[in-house]
Amino acid sequence: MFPALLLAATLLVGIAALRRTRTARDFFVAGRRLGAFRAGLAVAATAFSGFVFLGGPGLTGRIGFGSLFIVVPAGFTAALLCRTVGRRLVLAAEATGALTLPEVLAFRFEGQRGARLAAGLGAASILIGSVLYLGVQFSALALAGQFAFPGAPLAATLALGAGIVFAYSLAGGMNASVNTDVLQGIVMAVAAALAFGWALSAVSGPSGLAAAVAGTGPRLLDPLGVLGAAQGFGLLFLFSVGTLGQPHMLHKFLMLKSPEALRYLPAVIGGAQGLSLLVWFGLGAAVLAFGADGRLGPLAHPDDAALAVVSLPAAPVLLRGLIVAAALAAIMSTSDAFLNLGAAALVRDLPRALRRRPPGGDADAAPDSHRHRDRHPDRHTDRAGLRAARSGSVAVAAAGLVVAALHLSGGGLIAFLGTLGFGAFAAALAPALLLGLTWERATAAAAGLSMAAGLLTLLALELLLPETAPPPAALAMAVGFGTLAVVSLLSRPPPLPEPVRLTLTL
Amino acid sequence: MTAPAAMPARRGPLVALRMVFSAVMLIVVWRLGDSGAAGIPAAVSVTAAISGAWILGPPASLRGAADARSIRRRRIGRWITGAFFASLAIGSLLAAGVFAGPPPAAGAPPGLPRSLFGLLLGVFLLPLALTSVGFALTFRPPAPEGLAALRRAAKERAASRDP
Repeated sequence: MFPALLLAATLLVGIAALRRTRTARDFFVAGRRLGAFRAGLAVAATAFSGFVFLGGPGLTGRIGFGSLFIVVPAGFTAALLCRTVGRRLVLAAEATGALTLPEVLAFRFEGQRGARLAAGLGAASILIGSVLYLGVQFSALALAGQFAFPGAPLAATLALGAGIVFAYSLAGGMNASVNTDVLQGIVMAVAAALAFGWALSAVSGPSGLAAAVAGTGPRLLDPLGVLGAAQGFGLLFLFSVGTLGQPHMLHKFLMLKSPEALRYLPAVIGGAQGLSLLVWFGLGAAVLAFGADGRLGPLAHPDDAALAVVSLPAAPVLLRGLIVAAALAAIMSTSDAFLNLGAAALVRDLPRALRRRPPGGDADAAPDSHRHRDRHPDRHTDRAGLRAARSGSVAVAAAGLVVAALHLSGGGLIAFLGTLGFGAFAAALAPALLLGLTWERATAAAAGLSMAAGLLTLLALELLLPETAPPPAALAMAVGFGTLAVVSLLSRPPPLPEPVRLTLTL
Repeated sequence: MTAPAAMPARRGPLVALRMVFSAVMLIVVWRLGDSGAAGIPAAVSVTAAISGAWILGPPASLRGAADARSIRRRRIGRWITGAFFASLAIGSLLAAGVFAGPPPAAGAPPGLPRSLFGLLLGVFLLPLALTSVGFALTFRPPAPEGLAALRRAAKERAASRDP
């Protein structure tokens, strides 16, 4: 019941945003009208994909509480994000009306050799990453949909899940995406809190969990679980600093109505993420305890563990429905963000990188101070921009569906590329955005080189040395930071245009 | 027209340095705590010294503050930063197994390791509360005249680029 209700409510809330979506600015940055509450919930919901609800508890069952090193950085990343990159993004949007992250990069490095390349590489990374991420999310949606509607064929659940995300994203763009993110974020937090309460009582509290695991693997309860220190701290580094390169989270900062909205953003993001993470700890504990006492049999895949636990006879039926709904919510909230990001990269950023004018031109991107003279200077231009945005969404969704189909049919390379998502964005974008937006000495050439170096290192390590103790993505991100810092320091400090100087210093 | 004087753009690198520093400190304290009884006083001393240094802060960081409000904000920022590092360090010590307590007596129910609570409280929950509250208390929005100057400069640059 809960999954069907959630899907229907999501569709209604999303489609309702149609009438507020008239320009590309509405489509890509929700008209830049977000306050702290909506933006915070949207960031939190978007950041957590199905991995938190389905993958996290399964991973805990496999490697113990060492898996927490992936999530404990959430204790400080929200404030870190707002204090470093977030503030600069809001100011860049204020100055230029930027609708996308590559537009911010182009603004930051304006006038320097390599600026177009840096923005183009950023756009290409975002487009490729978005399509792969979207494909993996669509396939997760299909699998979770099969759990929600037992007996339905995989193709039908894929069509239903992807169709709903596509329908509301196409109709309302980011307006729809943010509104549904708020709904989805609330469902995720409530479900996680209830799952935590039930799981702790089902394992008879902390002492019951310790007693259950004592005979099979007490090390699983240690902070590092079965991980080595280098793996644990590598994950901590990757998931703290790497957050600063996640475009689906950063893009929300371009939607804030004013810099003042930043004040309470860490509290909203951190609170929502903290609640959602209860599912990781709670169901993770249940997977460990029930796996040890034999109530949970062997599983075909670790990701099945969370749903297997809430399907046990001891679990309330309502909780099972709620967890499935929350998993669907988590997957949809991430999917709609990548659909929008990919479309923006395709129809706005890549044409610019190739020296072509994007459909609809720049009228939509003009900041408020440039627009007030004539709120709708050219309705034809507005319509062209919106039409291009929707066409881009269709193309990205189609590519995502192809990736999902390949993924579901066992495409090993696709699955491999899909799992690179977080690390690829961290390696490619975190150095360019963090140092680029906070350090005056950073140069366009260094930013472009750091993106290429980070991505190539990641691919090389994943293919040649995938078992390195620190995660390959953490090493690749370090290479990206090092490249940007060294190349910038070896270059002559570039003159900064006044708007850029003010954006970096205000 | 002239833009208002802005703060030097040193906050970003400073924040990045702090991040690297906190990561290194986390590892140092963890390793010290993990090295047995002899490492504990060293780990506690490192934690106290670094947190204290953050709270007291270099005197120069309060110079240049325009008014009492700015000074108060910076003092709060120091306390929050000091408490944040102390929380990370103490959480790391606990997570490393320091203060693990005696093993449960025969027949007594075992409990979750204190080290796990150390990680959850010291590295996750307390930093979450401290950074959220700290950010809200010390947030300094750009002054209206600064924002106006930014918009004006961007508009002038756009006009000069695209006549």
